Amino acid sequence: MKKKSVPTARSTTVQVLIAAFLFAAAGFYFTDHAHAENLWQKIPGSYILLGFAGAYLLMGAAKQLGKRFLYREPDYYED
Amino acid sequence: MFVHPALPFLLTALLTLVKGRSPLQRALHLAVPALAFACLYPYLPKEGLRELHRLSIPLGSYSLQILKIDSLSLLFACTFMVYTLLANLFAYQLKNRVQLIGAYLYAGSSIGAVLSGDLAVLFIFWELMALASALLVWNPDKPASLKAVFRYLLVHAAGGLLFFSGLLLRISEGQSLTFAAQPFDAAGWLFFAAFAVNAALPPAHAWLPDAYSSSTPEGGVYLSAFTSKVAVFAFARCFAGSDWLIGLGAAAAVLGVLYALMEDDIRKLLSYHLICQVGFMLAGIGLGSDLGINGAAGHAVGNILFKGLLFMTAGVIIMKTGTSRLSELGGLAAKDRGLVVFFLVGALAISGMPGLNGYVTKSLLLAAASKAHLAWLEILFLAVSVGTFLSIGLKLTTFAFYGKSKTGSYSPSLPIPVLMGMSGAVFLCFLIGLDPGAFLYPFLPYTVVYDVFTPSHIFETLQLLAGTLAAFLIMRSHLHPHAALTLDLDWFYRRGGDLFVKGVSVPARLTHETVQAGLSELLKSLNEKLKRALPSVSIPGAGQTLLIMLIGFAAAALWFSGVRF
Repeated sequence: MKKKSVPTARSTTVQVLIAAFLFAAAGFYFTDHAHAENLWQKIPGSYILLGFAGAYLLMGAAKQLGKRFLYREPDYYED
Repeated sequence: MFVHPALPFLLTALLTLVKGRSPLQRALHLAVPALAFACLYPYLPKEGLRELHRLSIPLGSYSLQILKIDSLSLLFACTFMVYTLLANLFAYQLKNRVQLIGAYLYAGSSIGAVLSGDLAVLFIFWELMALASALLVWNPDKPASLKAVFRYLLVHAAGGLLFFSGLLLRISEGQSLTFAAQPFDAAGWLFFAAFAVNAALPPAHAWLPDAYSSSTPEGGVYLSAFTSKVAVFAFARCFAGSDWLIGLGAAAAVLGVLYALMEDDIRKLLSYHLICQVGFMLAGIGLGSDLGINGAAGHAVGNILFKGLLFMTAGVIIMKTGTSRLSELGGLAAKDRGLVVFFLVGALAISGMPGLNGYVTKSLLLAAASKAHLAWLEILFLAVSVGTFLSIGLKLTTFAFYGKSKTGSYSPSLPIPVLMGMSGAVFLCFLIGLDPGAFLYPFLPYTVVYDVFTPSHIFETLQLLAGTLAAFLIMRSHLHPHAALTLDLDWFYRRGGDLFVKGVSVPARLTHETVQAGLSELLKSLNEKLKRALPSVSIPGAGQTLLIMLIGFAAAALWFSGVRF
């Protein structure tokens, strides 16, 4: 019997990135470059980069803020 | 005969107080939003939504502007009525009389507030809202929620005091109390601060996650919709175009999204997102353009629906599992596939997925920032959208619904009214998202000429979401829930107050003890000296008496010789 394959995080990431680049290609095709209001709208894939970098920075900032300054025991206010 | 649209809610609350859960009360529970709309109907503009209608009631020499209907107030009032129907369906089986009374008063006073024609009428409904919502913050199953009620009332009493001071100042200066654009004079600033408290703008934001996470599941569903949106409405009426709102709104959006990423409690996470989304709306109002106001008003409508849906699913999770902590949840998707669908619709709507209402309203706000040539605000809006998808669409979904199950037995069945309430919210999210031209734009304050469904914009949004998803898949351990409390500015009145009292009382006690000990020593040594000077006299207490007399004589002598202390 053929074993059912379980998608790994790595294969899912690759699939998501392929989809993202397809969206970028489609977006580039449909963008009216002459009338784009912002610089980043003229750069293909800029929104992928914005999403990726934004998520990376926010996750890093939240982790550091929590660990270094803000996390307390759940019953902190109850004692 | 004029019947105020808030009256059916107030009467239903009264009936519930007297009769409890009677058949008539059950019927009114569902019918009250329709009755409120019937009261509003005779005053609706007949020529077009953008026509203005006013109704005033004479009160001595003053005329109370009890009703002001224009496209903005109509949009908010009707959204409140529709949402109240959904929330009442969700809470159909709620038996607690106090909570039910709170819900009716809260919805009715919120509708009254957005229909107010002057600031005095607004203030009355504003305060009624604060008291009614406090009844919903109270959770009979959580004794600690009573403390949250007091903290909530403390913050809102401060906000009410600011509002009342502004009113008194306006009256003392003989100025108009019309609920319209306000100048930035002393009274104007007081109103701004009062609205900021209810809008949960930083630094006055910490009451919102504190209170909303303490409530019952049903209470949270009501609380998520009204207070902050009435404040958004008040800002749109009084301070549209203020640069302060752009700055404070942007700060609220960033703070809300960062805290949401750190939070372990699902309703606190959603509450921080509420702050974030209100920040979006206020920044749009701050832009002051037609597009900005339309975006903010549309986003308020959208937020009431998708945030309400998310609070409903969070409520179901709490009811079924008994916990609201992400660190104690997991694997719910395998147990309840229906709930995942409801949750995902809300999560994708708030994340701005094309086809749902959040995409439309966020696009209007992005376009407003772009047209105002505020590139930094546009990038900030995009970054906050990334954070929204990250915290609700990915973090909450992954750690609550997927992974290893940490909860015990779970029954996936839901009562039909609860399903109807949630399905109604899903339906409206899709309806507005798929055809905003028919179901949103005609009701916005200004004519919409912007097309949000251009292929380039749709693909830009999809790229943004895909980039975020890729980053999450690579680094999701960063967002793994911690069983921890996240400190916020409420620390200042939850712990800081104690420290302040200790900081003042301990030095005061030490000073008092030192001075008292010094004086005792002085009196003792004087007593000893007197005893030695008068060894033959052995009358008990004579030393002290003699000393007091000496001091008294010396003081009298000095007084009569003209010396004044």
